[in-house]
Formats: sequence, structure tokens, C-alpha cells
Amino acid sequence: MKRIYAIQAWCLDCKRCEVACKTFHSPFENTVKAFKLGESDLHSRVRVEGTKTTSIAINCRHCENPQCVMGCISGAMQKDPVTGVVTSDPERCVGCRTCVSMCPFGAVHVEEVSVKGIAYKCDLCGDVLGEPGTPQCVAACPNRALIYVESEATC
Amino acid sequence: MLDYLLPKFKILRDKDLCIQCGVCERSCSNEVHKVDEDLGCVVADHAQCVNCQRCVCMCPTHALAITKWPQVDPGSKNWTLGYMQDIAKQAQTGGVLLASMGNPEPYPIYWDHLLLNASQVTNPSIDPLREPMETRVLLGSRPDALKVNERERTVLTTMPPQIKLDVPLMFSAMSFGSISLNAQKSLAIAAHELGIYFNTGEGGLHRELEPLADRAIVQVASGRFGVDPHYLNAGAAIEIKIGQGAKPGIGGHLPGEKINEEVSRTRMIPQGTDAISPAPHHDIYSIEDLRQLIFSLKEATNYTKPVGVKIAAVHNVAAIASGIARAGADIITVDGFRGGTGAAPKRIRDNVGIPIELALAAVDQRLRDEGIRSRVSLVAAGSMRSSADVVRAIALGADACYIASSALIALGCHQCQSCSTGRCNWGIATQRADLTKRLNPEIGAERVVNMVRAWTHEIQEMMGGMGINAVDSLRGNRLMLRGVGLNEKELEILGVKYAGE
Amino acid sequence: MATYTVDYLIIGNSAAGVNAAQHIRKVDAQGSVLMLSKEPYPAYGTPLISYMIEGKTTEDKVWFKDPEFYTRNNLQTLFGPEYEAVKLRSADHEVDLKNGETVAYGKVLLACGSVPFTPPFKGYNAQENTHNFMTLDDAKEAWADVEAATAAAHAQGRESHVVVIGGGLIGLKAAEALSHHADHIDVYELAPRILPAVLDAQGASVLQKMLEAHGVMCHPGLSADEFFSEGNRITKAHINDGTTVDVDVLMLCVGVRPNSALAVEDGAEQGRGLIVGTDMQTTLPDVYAAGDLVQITDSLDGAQRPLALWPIALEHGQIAGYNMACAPNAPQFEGSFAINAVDFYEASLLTSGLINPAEDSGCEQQIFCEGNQYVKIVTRGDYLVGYILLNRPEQAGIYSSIIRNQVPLSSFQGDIFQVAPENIAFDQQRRWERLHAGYPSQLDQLGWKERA
Repeated sequence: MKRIYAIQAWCLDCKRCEVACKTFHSPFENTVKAFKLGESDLHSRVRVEGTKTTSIAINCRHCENPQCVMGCISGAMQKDPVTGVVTSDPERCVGCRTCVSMCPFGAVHVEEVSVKGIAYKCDLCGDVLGEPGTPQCVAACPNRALIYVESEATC
Repeated sequence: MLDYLLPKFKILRDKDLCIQCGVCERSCSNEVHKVDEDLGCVVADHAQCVNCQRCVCMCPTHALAITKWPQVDPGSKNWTLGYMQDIAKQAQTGGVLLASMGNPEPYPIYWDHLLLNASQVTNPSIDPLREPMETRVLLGSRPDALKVNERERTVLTTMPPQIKLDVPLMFSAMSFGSISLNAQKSLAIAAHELGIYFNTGEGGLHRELEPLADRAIVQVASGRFGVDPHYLNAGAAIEIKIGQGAKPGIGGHLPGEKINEEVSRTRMIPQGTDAISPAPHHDIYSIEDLRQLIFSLKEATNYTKPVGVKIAAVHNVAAIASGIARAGADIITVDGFRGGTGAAPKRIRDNVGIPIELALAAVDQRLRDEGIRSRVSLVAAGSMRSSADVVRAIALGADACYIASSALIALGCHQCQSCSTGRCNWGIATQRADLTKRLNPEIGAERVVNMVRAWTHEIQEMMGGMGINAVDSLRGNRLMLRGVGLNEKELEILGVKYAGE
Repeated sequence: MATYTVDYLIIGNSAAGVNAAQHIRKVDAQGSVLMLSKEPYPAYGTPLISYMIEGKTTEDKVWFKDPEFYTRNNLQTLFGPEYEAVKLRSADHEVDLKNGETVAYGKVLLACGSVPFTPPFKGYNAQENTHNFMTLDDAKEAWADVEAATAAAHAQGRESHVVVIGGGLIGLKAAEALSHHADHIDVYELAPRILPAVLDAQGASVLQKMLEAHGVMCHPGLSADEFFSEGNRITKAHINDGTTVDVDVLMLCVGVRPNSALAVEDGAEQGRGLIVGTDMQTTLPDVYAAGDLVQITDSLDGAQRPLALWPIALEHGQIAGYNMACAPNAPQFEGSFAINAVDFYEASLLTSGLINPAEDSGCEQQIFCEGNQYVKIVTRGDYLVGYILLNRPEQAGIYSSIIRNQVPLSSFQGDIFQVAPENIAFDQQRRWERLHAGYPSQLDQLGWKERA
């Protein structure tokens, strides 16, 4: 499968990836609308760690043996057996945070939404859960600090 | 005394578009932008803005534009705001004003007064997509005569060392120190892909560039930084830098704080010491002295590399060039006053030197008149803004052109003319690690290669239109140029007829 | 004569059983697989029962697998109370069912989890208003009963009282869930603190305050010593501090024990759970076990005990499945350690590893307590061996991976405990290796194609 890899040497801590991620996963296509009308619904699935001098954008590794899927009690966290994409289904997630305690990369975040918490994580910008799309963080990166390439690890 | 140094620019932030994401704040090394949590908006310290447009490009919603500071000048065409602000600064500090990049003043740009020819009816134009179009040129000295053994089909004359350019372009000298290693790498990789050359500048050859050094022209300047036999032999050619178009007659001064470990190693000087390039070479006070240096370098490289000399375009440039040719140089580079620099005294940049167009025409004519034009190759430098400028320069007599500002613009430079601050937001004219990494040489090289390829196509189109199928046939072909808006003297120096003639 | 004859028999239809079936199928597409469960449902997420009552999920979403899972994988199923396995005869390779039928098997997996354990209480016997909180049916019954009892109480002009005996994970999740449907919830826990297995005293007191803000009153150190009934319902409980409380519904969540009787009665060795080899085989030939009823070796302190955790059950199931199907290079179970995640209202509690180390264990602990946040970090030498993160869930998984991979703490620069470490806290080499599994070999660390 294709995976997103972060290249620390080129990460500028600009966080354009986060803006693009939030926009794509908002109900709006337009960034301004996404931020001005749906601010409470903005959840970045990619996070830039570090500071200007050393930074790196972290998102889900779509592991071969994803710990988050192993831990998930609700069946919300699934790894697609064909595409290998690991996704969290907001309908099924109950916000127990087992995935948070399992993910070795801190790439899953539970954020409170209305009655329950929901685990948010990178879904490779697919239109449907489990189908990879065009990762917007990679597209938004001005410096190829995120690359989306065929991985040598199996799905 | 109360004195207000006016901001030069003003940030226009469209509040309807700003999402307060903070990308601008994190993108600006001048700390112009700030997301103000208390005010609930992003504020700007306009005075720090240099109009590099990094934020304009990075803003995810394109909410930013930069305009001139609205303060009007007093109404005098003589006492402009610019001069008054300069005086205010000098009244405060007593210092020489520092500036960067090329002469920005509204002197005539002769390129814009020279029009190109095209074929109609009497000789056919050539379609470069269908017919071969030779853009290759060789730089170096040419023998006076070529002896050939016709029976064995061999050349008997010993050929002087030459370098081959697939396109009549090279990247001009920009030292490691004045620009970042990533900028140098971008140009070096691009030169490799394009079959042309980059120039190390006077700062030595960084060890990471050694694998690409076969496409390097190594420079020897008055500071002799980083020069040793290994360096001289590492490149494809050697260039002695006498002067630079942006600051003729002036040396260079890289302050000690910019001499970090890498710069120190590459320049072969102690860390933290000022790197001073004297105005003259202390061993060159005459053409004869220059000849000694040229031949010292040829000796050092066993006569395998062409040795060039670069001078700024100044008065009497034709006579000086003639002397340089006679001193044994293989390549003469003439750098016009619009050529860029990382740092120069503002008064020098803005007032010293002459346009490359006039200098080039004068030098080419003088060398031809003296019958020594084929002894040397002539390279024009000092702001080639497009392929059309390159075609004009070749028609005026250049063998090839050096480009630098245009290559930097391809790398992201927005000509803010603030190189000397060392805070280049595009990662070009800086050594700050958090800024240099903004230029990923993989991307940089791709962009420069794209630009040069595009120019090459355009050069081929223009030559084809003239009915010319090789750069060699265009060189010095001033019949392909016509002047507009020029007086008799200008036409005479340029050696071109008026449009309509 | 056996009623059914199968290659693989799986008793239990939850995490371990289902995952075992799935992994048997990965290796053996032909062999017949039969799954038995006394619950009349496809596999569901057991921990979801409390979330269902709270309305955070619904009954149609608790299913662990999609509806076609069993047919797609060609798994035969016998689900329902009549199919409860009542006797294992491993010598004959047969299992007797409650309905008198018999299954002959090639290999059998016991994945029937644990069962509630209720100590003898004076005056207690199971009545209409007493419930466990282990299964979907338990939850549905308790939920309906609490709603009905509350309605009845209100009709009588009084408030309803739910008493929960046991302040462990199950008891508190039941209390939280039912608190949305009852007026008063009281939790009695004999141990001196709530969640005795996954918290320490200080953390428990922080959590207790948060629970009580939501009306879940906790009474550590106390338990009922006698119950009083009227008709089919227990109506009062006498507490061992001398008080008496009203009871509308009684939840019994004292504890669980491994549901291992089948194997033990047939002679399997048992410690605190069934003893298995690294291939998950019990001491009885061709009898495997996986999940909550298995005793495992804690990889951190070497203790032998069951670890009743969903991901461990899955791992067990996978390993058992591969080994039952004789997969080449079948993975072996090498021990594990606990990672618990649980949430109550807005509180989140993540714990892992050793959280209450013995004095002589050589462990050191650091505590960070501020407001509702309570963090305890347990280290041993240069290694992290446990944590409690109460209301500070950020990057917990990074701590877990530091424990799992035994990353030396000295390899980090600066503090990683005051605030949670990020990936960038790892040294350059580990950082790259962690984040770049499967990175294309033709690219260098700058993302460039390596030049020839």
C-alpha cells in the first residue's frame, strides 16, 4: 500500500498540513468556510511536532499489525483487509481511548463531540472508509516534508 | 530627537479570509505576523516587513497582500521619501547603508530597446520542433588556425581546454556563505541535469558538492577563500574574480558571526573570524600581474582547465577586456550594474558601473577590431530576465550568459533585496538552519531545470524565427537586432541599426 | 455416536474465539470449524454493554464482525443456551452439550472467558432485581429493570436506588451506565479504594470525586453483609458499617473467575487460570485455551495471572488459531503486560504495566497531580514499567510503546514525564526507525531518489 512518510529534514513547522487536513474532513470544501462555520468540528488527523528548528508531521502509519485495531472494543477501528487503510468509524466509536493507549505514535486522538468522544485519525483522505484518496496534507506541504509513496511493508 | 523610520510596506489582511491558522506567523523570520489571542485576530508589525511575500504564498486562504506604506513624499521629485529616509537612518547611525541584489534604480534597460528580427519570404524561418537546432556552445580559447591531417582525418592543432555547455547559460558565482548550501545544491544538481555549469563563488567548494564538482566553475577571488590545489582541480574551469557588477571596486565582508562551522571549513578560515575580501587582489596591480595569476592557475591545473576572468562593467571596459584577453584568459566575463549581490553599500550598488548591454557590445567590438575575439570566450552577466535577453546578449556578441537572479527567483526569491539581513525567508540567502531547510534542493533543482528548459525552447523558437539554427550563428549577429527609442550614440555603441532601417 | 464431527471446535464466541477461527481459516481453508456459544448472538464487543446503556452506541452497532462473517469464513455456529458445552472428554476428543448432543473434534479451543464470582452473602440469592454485568443479556436485563424500578419508585413518589457491589472496572462501568436511568447509585468496594486493580490510593480518590460529581457515590472499604427481600426482590442491604440502604436494583460486580471448569474437570492444570504453553495448548492434548481464562506471565514482573483484556484475547486467539491449524512458523505467545483504558463521564483513565510496585521491586515512581489530572510513572532502572494517566491521555500509546520496546529512558533528552513525550522526543535513529517502517529503499532520508 502507499503510505505517507514524514521527512524531518524538510518539515518547516508551518502546519499547512493541519489546515488542509481539517478542511478536507470538514463539511465544507472551502478552507474559509470550514474554519469560520464549522470550527467546533475541526479535527486534525496530522500533527506537527517540535519547533521551527526541528519538526515533523505525524500521522497514522497504517501499521501492518495495528495496535489500535487490536485494542478497539467497539469495532470502530478497522484495517481494511484489501487496501490496508486503518480507519476509525465515528458511528461505532464510543471514545474509550483504548486506541490512544495502544498507538505507539500518538496518532489517534479522542476528541469530545456532543454525547461521546470520538477517535480521530488519518484515513488517507478516502471518500469512503478504507479507500485511500489523495492525502491533502501531502498536497499542502510546500517542501515535500510529507511524501506519499508505495511502501515496502506489506499491508 | 524623535525620528520615525517609516515602514516600507503594509500588510493587507483580508479579515473575511483570515482563519487565524498562524501559518503566516510561523513562516516569517522577520516576526511580522502574530496571532493575538486577546484581540482574536492576527496582527502585523508592518515595519519589519521586507515584502519577501513568503506569507503571501504560504497563506492557505490567500488572505494576504502587501502594499507600499501609504505615507506620501513631500511632493518634491528631488527630495523623495527614499532619500529622506536614508538620511534619517544615517543621521541616527552614522553608517554606510547596506543593500542587496542588483541596481534597482530607473536607469535605461537597453534590452527593452532592442527588438529581434524574424524571417519573412526571402529566407525561411526554421521550425525547431521539426529541424535540429543547435544550442550547444564551447567556452574557452580557440586556436588561431586549425591544422588538420585530411588523410587521417585528425586534428593536428593542440586544442586549448574548453568546457561544453548544452545551453548557452551558466549559473553565476554565488558563494556558500552568501547563499545557503541548499541553494548551491539546487543549482549544482540543475547544472548537472542541464549539461551546464554552476559557479562556486569565492567561498570555496563545500564537501557535499564535490560529487557535483565536474559541473563547477571554481572561483578565485581576492580573499582566496577555500583555494588549494584540490579545489582548483576539482572544477571544470577556474574563474578569477576581479569585480562584480553590483559593487565594482568594492571588496566583500562576511561578518564573523556568519562564519559557522560549515562556512569555516569550506572557506578554510577560523570559525567566527570576519571573512574579508579586499577590494583589489593584493598581488594584481597591472595586466601583467593578472597574467601571472592566470598562468599560476594554469600551471596548478596542468593546462587542463580554462581560466576565466570576471570583471564588472565599468568605464573603459573594452580596453580592460582587451588587456585580459592578452593576459591569457580563456574566458572573459563582464558583469553589468544590474547584477545581484548578497550585500553591497547602497550608494555603490545604485551609482557605480554601467549597463551590460553597452559594455558587452563595446567589448565584443573591441576584441574583433583587434583581431583577438576568437582567443577568448565572452560571457555576459548582470540580469538576464528572460530568454529574449539571452538572445539579445548573444546577438550583441556573448558566447554565453551567466544567470543568477533569475535562477534564484525560480528557487523562490522574491527580490526583496534583504539578503544582507541573513533572514531570507525562502532559505536562499541565509545560513540559519530553520530557514535554509525551507529550500529542498530536490524541488529547487526541478524548478531551475524547468526554467532553463523553458528558456531553451524559447531561444530555439526565436532563433528559428530568424532562420538561424545554431547559437554559434547568432553570436555577434547584430543584424538580428534593431533599436527603438535610442539615440545615435547608443546605436553606435550597440552596433545596431534603428528599427525600420 | 457424536452428533457433530468437526476438525476444529471453538467454545466461546468473543474476541479470542472469533479471532482464532479467523486465523485458522487463514491457514486451513478446508477444515471444518464449529463455534459454540451459550449466548444467542453473533460476537459482540463485550465492553460495549455499558456504552449501549449510556446511549453512546446502539444494539445494532455492538456486533464485532459484519453479518456475513461466519458464512464468508465457512464457520458453523451453534449459538444459544442449549448449546452450552457441559463436559469435555479430551481422551475421546469429544464435548457434550447441554441439549444432550455431542461434538467430536480434532482440536478444541476453550475461549469461554470468565464468569462472575459472587461470594456468599447472608440473605442473598439471585432474584428478579439482582444482576451481573458481563453479557449483553445481563446489560439489557439490568437496564430494563432499572428503568422499570425507577418508574415504579417515582410512581410511589420516591427516588430509585441502585446498589452496586464491587468497585472494580465492571462495577463502576455498570454504575456509570445505570446512573443515567436511576436517581441514586451507591457503589460498595471492600478494598480501601475504588478500582483496586488498576489504580492507586491517590488516583482513586481523584477519580472518586469526579464520579461523585455525577451522582455515583463510592464507598470504598465497605460492603454489604446482609440482604433483605420482599417477594422476588431484594429491598434492603445492610452495610458493614451498620447502616441499612434501600435497594431497587442490585448489581453484583464483585469479581470474576476463569470459566475453565470444562478443562479442569477433565484434568487440565490450573493456576490462577488455565496453564498453557506458548502455543496456547493446555496440559490436555489438543485442548487449547485463549482469552480471559488463561494464566499468562506478566512480562514486566513475571507474575502469573490471567489478563482479562480485549487485545490480549485477540492475540491469544490469533496464536491459538495458527497453532491449531499447524501453520508453519506459527507465532508463540511470549507473555504480555496490561494496558487498560477506561472512561467515566469526562474522566479518562489509562493505565499500564506495574502501577503499585512492591517496595522491594527496585521500582521508582514519580507522581504529577494537578486538579483532576493524576499521573504516576513507574520506572525500574533505565526503563519505564508502568503508568497511570488519569485525565491526561495524550500520547499514552507512546508510553506503552516505550514499555513494550524497552526503550532506555537515558536515550531521551530532557523530561518525558511532566508532559507526554512526542515522537520527536526519541533519539534521531529510533525516531526514523519508528516512523519509517516499509520506507522505500530507493529513497534516502531526505526523500530523494538515491543517485546512482
